[in-house]
Amino acid sequence: MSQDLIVGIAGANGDGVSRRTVLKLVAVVALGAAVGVGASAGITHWGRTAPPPYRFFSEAEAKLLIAICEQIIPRDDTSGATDAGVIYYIDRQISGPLARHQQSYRLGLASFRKTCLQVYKTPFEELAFEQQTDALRLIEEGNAPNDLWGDPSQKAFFDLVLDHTRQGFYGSPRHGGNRDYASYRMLGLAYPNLIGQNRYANGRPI
Amino acid sequence: MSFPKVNAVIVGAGAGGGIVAKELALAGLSVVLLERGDWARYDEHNDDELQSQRTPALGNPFGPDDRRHRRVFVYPNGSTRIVLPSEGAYSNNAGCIGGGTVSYGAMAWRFMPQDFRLRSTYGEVKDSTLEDWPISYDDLEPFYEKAEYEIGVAGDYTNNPFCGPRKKPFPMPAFPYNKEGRRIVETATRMGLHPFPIPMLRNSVPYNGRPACIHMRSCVGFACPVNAKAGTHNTVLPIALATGNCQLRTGCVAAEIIVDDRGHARGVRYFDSDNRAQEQPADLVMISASATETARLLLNSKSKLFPNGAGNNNDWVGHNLQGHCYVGAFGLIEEEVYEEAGPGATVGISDFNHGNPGLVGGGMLANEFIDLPYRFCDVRPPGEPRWGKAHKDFQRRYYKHVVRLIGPVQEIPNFSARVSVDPAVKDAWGIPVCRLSGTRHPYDLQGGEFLSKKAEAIIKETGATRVWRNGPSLWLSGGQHQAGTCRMGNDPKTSVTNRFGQVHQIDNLFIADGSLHVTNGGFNPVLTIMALAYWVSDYIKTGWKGSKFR
Amino acid sequence: MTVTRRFKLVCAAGLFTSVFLLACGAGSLAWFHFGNPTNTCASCHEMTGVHSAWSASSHRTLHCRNCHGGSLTLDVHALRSHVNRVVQHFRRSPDQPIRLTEKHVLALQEACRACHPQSFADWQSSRHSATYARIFLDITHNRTEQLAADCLRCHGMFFGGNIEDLVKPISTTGPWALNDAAKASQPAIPCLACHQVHTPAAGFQSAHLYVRREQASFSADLLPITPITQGDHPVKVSPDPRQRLCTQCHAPNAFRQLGSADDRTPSGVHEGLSCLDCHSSHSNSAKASCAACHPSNSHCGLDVEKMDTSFRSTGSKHNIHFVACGDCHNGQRPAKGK
Repeated sequence: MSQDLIVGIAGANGDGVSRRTVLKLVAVVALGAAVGVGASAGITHWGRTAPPPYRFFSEAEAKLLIAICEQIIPRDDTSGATDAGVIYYIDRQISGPLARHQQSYRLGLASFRKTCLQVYKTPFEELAFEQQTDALRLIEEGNAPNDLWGDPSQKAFFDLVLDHTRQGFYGSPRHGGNRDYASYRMLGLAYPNLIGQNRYANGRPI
Repeated sequence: MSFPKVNAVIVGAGAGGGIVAKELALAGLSVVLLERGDWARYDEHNDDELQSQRTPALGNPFGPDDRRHRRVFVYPNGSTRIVLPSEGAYSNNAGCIGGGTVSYGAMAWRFMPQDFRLRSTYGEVKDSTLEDWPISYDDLEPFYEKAEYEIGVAGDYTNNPFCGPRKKPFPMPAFPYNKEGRRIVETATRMGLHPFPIPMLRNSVPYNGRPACIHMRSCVGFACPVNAKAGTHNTVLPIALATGNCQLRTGCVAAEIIVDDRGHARGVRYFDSDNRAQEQPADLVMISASATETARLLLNSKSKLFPNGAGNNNDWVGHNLQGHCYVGAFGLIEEEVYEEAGPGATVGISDFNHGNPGLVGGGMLANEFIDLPYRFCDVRPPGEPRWGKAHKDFQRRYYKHVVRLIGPVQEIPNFSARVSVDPAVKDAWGIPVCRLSGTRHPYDLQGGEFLSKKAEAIIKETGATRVWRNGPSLWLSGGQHQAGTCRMGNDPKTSVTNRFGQVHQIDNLFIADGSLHVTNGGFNPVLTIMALAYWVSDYIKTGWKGSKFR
Repeated sequence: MTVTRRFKLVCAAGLFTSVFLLACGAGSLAWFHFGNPTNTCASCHEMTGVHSAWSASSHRTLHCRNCHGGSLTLDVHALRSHVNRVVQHFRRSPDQPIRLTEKHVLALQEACRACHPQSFADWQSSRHSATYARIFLDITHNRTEQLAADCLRCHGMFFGGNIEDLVKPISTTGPWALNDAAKASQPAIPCLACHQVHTPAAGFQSAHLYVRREQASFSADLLPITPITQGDHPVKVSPDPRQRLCTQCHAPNAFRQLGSADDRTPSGVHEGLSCLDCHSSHSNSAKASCAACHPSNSHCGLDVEKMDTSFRSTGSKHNIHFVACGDCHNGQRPAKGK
């Protein structure tokens, strides 16, 4: 019965499978393989995208935020916020556990940009370092034009970025910031924390 | 679905519930222990400052999670905000097996005899609900001792003349002072004070099959990687489970205590780990869910005889929320006093807990647990810049050069500081959430000023070059030291339970956690919560008659 | 058309279709297996970081599949995780960090062995090749100290669970058993504990510490030199980056006292030497290493090769980790060698 079926399916009329059937099968296999290879190549080709550098921020937003964070923890003889990858910390966390702050960043950064353009006639990133410091102090103290700020207020926005910059700089590297334990090295703290196992003498650790 | 009836259902496997579960299970009662969290996982959070129970920037590592829980916080100006568990205003403790005892700093203080009779020692304080406890230090002493031996405390009170009488010494020798501690001991002794090693729920030598402390810098806020820190999760709970009488159900969120029309507790309605509604009938119901959550559960349990919540016919449930206003002083010092060996807090001073001229109560002072770098960003003298090169310079220059003395002020109970349930906001299971409102009693400002000045005087004497105080605030208390919301008392009109934690008018409903505290001492409260749990359990065990209580 | 004929036709169509689909699949897998990584795995931006590190590394002549397995050799778990990654890619979900499971770390050992047979054999002869059974079922240890999560920091650092998932019971009474019997013979400190493969060849740059709690490898260059003190006196510690790696597990206690816990920092006359000055990096053997610095005899005429210099011989006054001048010379100037 099963023999019959196979023969029947293969379209053979007599004994065995005809050469035509074998050829057909080979053709189908070849075609299939070609389609498989082609499709994979196509997928990998069309799927190829420039790596989006950030999950949440646009490149312009990130550029501004990087400049703000670098003001908060600037580079001197040791790493600053940029070196430590603070932007990646913030970007990753507000795409995750801190998602509730997304709107504050989007609106806050927009207000921040407008503030600098209005007060200094120049984008923040292009100001000299000292001028950036002044601009940031203005916002920290809530002294920038208030009509450019809604929710978050300028003070609230500053406090948010300050807190997240500290987290990114001092937190565990696995969250995206504190690259190569930059801040721990700065403070002379052992990293990763190492402690040998207990050894005992007469039941007491030595 | 309803489970077969058991002798006792306990809500909350923390400091209180863990002990009650063990005591009752060992006495032969069938016990179901409901816990909203799960076993804490060490691996996911160790030494990660952003996932510490102290600085939960990325969520509470030991629960509860930000996804399903919320509370409503009422600001002094009347405005409200929905707050998440990882935010300070939520007043979180923990949500895992062992509760706060997994990640606490593990200071093991007994309250002093005066702490139990504050009202009769000092008299009335205006606009407060200051009252004596219905039990005394002597009543609780054997149970303090039991907690010290069963959970395990290392300490030495040779140099502490202020503590209440003890029958037995500590089961383990005290920990040595660290550099900062030695500096403070030397200074305080010179000033005529009585510094001594802080008693700790932590193994200084191998004890009860668990190893000695390895001195992690990341201790408070974290689980112990070698189980040297003792909590209910690694001491009494394993014993409870080994009896075979105790069934632990994790991921279970209690919604309501079922109270029948005759005023008898019938069991607990809860949601299991698959969010299915369940009922656990029991002869006896024990609530050990922390001062905020216990109050919420009682208030959410409305019945014919208790239309305003279980045990709340006199409107005392949820009131008198207390915690501790921490005050103290910091100083910058030339010597490098930082030690990589944790946890940091080694020396205590109890000179200012009582007997302060013109002051009701007082508080203990101790040096502080190691501040990891993120938290250290806020250790600053007033006026110090928060950012820029100045911030970096301060971190580098002083991270290892700070001496601290801080302590919890004995708070004066305030009726308006309270937990209620919000009329509108619900959690992920549809259960009305805690609404926190009110402030500390204004008298706490006086206590806080006093204690922080005492700390300042000592820090100045250590040779610190720049000294500043952290003063008190009126901000609503609670947090990890939360207490007072279901106070015990002899008068049912002004208390929620009797002296044995038994809710007035509901004979088979008990409470064993910080909610019972009439006042919260000038010390970390956990050992008192543990002692009370033994005390309440002892009462239940003694009166247990087969399937009934009394 | 008869019913049987129609049935046959349908079956034939089915057969051809399935053959076609199977061929498609095989073709696709073959493309990924044999293709140039830049056109396959690394065409997804999630892989570009890993890929570019590999391109600059000493292992760049090896194809991904040599170590990670190709699509034709991979197991179901890996295939699923790759397919999942592709799905995530097209859904534009945030990329998850790429991690090897312990299974893959162990499979990778075989690839290491193929090219580095001598180093592998040395490692195998050393205590660092100890198995899970040897470490976690050690009765003497387990009776003295309860097993803890912290054990996994240095032993079984790739184990994908908590200590309770590995061995039971967590007590000092035992009897202890591994939950998964297959783990018994697996090495608990595999190559990747101390090596990162995607690194440049120069110097010791493959020397990396795998930090379990970060789930990442950190270059030995970046690790701190642990300060060690003897009483209150600081001990000179070798700056050799490779030693920093050793110290991570052969660590002192939290008070950083010389000789405490697992610390083996040399003091006395050998203060400041690196572990690697005497110990070979893979076998850890220090055999005959004295002669490297002490040609046949020491100053006083004693034969260094005949002394008991072993760290374990705590009673020996020639213990190389501690021996100090005063141990032999009683505070006096030594007599001139003959």
